[in-house]
Amino acid sequence: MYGWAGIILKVDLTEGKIVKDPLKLEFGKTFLGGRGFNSKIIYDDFDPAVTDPYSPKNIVAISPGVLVGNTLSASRICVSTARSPVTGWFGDGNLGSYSGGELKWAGYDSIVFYGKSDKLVYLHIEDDNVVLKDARHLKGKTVYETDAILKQEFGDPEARVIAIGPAGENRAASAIPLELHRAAGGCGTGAVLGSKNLKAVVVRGTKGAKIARPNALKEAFKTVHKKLLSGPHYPMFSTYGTAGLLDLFNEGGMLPTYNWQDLEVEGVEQVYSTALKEKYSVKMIACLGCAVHCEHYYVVKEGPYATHGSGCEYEVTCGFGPRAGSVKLDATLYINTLLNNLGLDVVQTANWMNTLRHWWQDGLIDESDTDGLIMEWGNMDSTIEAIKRMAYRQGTFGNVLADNIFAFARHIAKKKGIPVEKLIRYIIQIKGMTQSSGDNRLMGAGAALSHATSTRGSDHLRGVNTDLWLVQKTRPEDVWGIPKEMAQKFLDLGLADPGRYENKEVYVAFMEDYCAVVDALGICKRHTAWEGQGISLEDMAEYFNAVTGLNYSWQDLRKCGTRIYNVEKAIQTRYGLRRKDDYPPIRCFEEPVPAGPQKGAILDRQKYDELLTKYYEHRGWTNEGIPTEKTLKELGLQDIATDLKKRKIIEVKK
Amino acid sequence: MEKILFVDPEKCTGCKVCEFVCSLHHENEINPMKSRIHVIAWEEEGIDVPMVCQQCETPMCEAVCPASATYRDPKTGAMLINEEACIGCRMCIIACPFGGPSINPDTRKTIKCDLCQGEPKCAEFCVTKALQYISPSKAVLIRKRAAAQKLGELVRKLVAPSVS
Repeated sequence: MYGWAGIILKVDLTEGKIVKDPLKLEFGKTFLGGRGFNSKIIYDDFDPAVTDPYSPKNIVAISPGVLVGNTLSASRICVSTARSPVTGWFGDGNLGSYSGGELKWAGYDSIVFYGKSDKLVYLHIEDDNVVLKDARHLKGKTVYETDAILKQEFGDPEARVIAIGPAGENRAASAIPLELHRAAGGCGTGAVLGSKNLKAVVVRGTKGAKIARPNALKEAFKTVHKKLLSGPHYPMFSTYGTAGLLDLFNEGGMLPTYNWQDLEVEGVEQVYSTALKEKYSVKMIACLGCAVHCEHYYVVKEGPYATHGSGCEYEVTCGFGPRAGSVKLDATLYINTLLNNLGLDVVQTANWMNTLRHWWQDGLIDESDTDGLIMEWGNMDSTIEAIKRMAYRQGTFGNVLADNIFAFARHIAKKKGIPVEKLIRYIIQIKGMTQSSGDNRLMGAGAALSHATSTRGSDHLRGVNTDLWLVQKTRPEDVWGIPKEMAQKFLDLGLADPGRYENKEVYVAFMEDYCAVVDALGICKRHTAWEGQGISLEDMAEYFNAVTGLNYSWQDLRKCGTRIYNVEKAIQTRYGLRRKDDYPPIRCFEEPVPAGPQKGAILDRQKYDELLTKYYEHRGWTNEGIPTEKTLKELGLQDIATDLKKRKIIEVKK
Repeated sequence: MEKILFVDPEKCTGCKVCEFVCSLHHENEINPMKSRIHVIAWEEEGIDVPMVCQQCETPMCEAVCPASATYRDPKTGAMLINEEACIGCRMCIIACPFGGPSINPDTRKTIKCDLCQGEPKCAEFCVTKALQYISPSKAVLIRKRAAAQKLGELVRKLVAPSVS
């Protein structure tokens, strides 16, 4: 077997047992790896009747994509749990890492954690040796401390450590596992690992990856390398990282500020990526095998926010900057390092903090609700304190907020005797997942649909992040990273108009499948059509074939993507999610954009409704968003069709 | 003049593409353990240093090799290992001040950078030019210019106002 390492590691934390399950080639060919493996494993092994994400019956699967450790610019791991404590539903997070490579080189395609250990443990993997070890001495240690201690204990500085911080141990819902600053961002899988008493995974692999067609891979390397460097956004990402998007968004009149109430904040240039580069960035660093090196290593030398660390994406510069009504870049960097050490997700945590401020602004909460913290716009000191209290569950405020922002809304609603809907309306979220720093009213109807139908809740990484990639494109070869015939179809359908709703389902479904493929292969989306860049589905097929020795066309890969998306949708329908859960945040329909070149822009409910219906038809789902038996069968998911029929989710005709 | 593989750690991003292409080129597989070059990192401090054979003029590996398995490639100047002659004693690994030679985990004999017969893949794929295959004179001036940069800035600050 080439491409796959050949073993799925099943770790029963309750019994302390580790089983090495041989990977069936058919499973690899069907679900590829990474996100695809996780989703199917969760479908098969997790009982949807278990509603508590912290139940020992919850499952955490960690899988590197099939191309991780054997190709350029494929460096991801996908972490997923059946139930996310952030949303209550299906959730996962992607970790751009080195540990994915080490896992593959040690011989594993997945680790699946079941049960709950009675004491804090970590999993130690050194090639064939896999052992659970006592981690009680790591209790309360930050992600960076854990990394340093375990590398020293292990006696190998080249080992890689995926760890949770104090936030994960304390089951703060937005806690995630990290490999130093590289975060499996999103759905709170760190809190689930914490509930299982799993502190870390230490991995070192020395076996390497055998390649089916080395010469073909050498050729594919050259092509992809060239495309990476000639991508239209390479200069920005390799120089400024995603932080550069803040400058672009502001100049394009699309920068959300004050929890999406406005598009402006005074002194915004102080948080520009150019300021980051000039004042604090020491150098750019990369993930495993990536030529783009889009992360900063930064140092704030002095002042109250003196710190150093790595990363600093647009999500942190905007989420703890303009969206918080702040332009203090040094405070933002301090928070970035703090979150990485505590093991908290940037996007969720930022949204929760900014929602608190928004409630504060409108007089819905005050000091009596925040244990004395002043949650005014731009007050980053109270933010820092609030983050710490949440991570350590200090006081009523910290303890309730740690459960998640909805729990806090319910707590306030009850305390003040106001309807909870009034508070939840402020939260920019879909299916409980709060949004990254884009605006659903401004990125095109396709992006709005894609965020809303995303199988893990609001997500720009699940399909279309913006329709703008198609704007001003007239020839299919100008649409980067998309197979020519698909690009031609998009242009023929007039999808280059971002304001248009009609036929956008074709673009969205394609990009959702595309992203599922990218996540299953383990490639970073930044290099692909998702970001208007050059690595195309055809290139991915070349890579995949060279590594595995198979002969997949891009259509074959896409079908795998469709299959993965349907598995995830089936998981969500099993949890009870339906059509009503596939809508953008309510404010996008009711509050027009207040300023900028697109002043007045708003989502049209009726047009959106029609688009959603079309999308379901295009997907072969019912009008409630349930995959039909026919659709599932065509994708080879007969087992899921049978299960959904047994559960009476798919109606059985009499 | 023969070119040298010039390493500039300040430019290294730690991506390890060099390790990937090295092992693919030499071993037809992707395995950092079989790569001739390794990036040693202190991630929490943002430090990445590519470590590779420096092809010394007075090679310690040659001096200690009891099997006389080392020889110099007349074309590139690279120190090579005669695999047949190598007895796998690892004296070269002990003696090398830079950790240049490695052990092939399969054969348990020494493997080391051969400059890819004059077209080193690591330098070809290094996007930040932390690795460059250039003449020694060019390399020397790169270092000098980098060091002079700080001095140059100071001079500009002091002199420029009076010029204008």
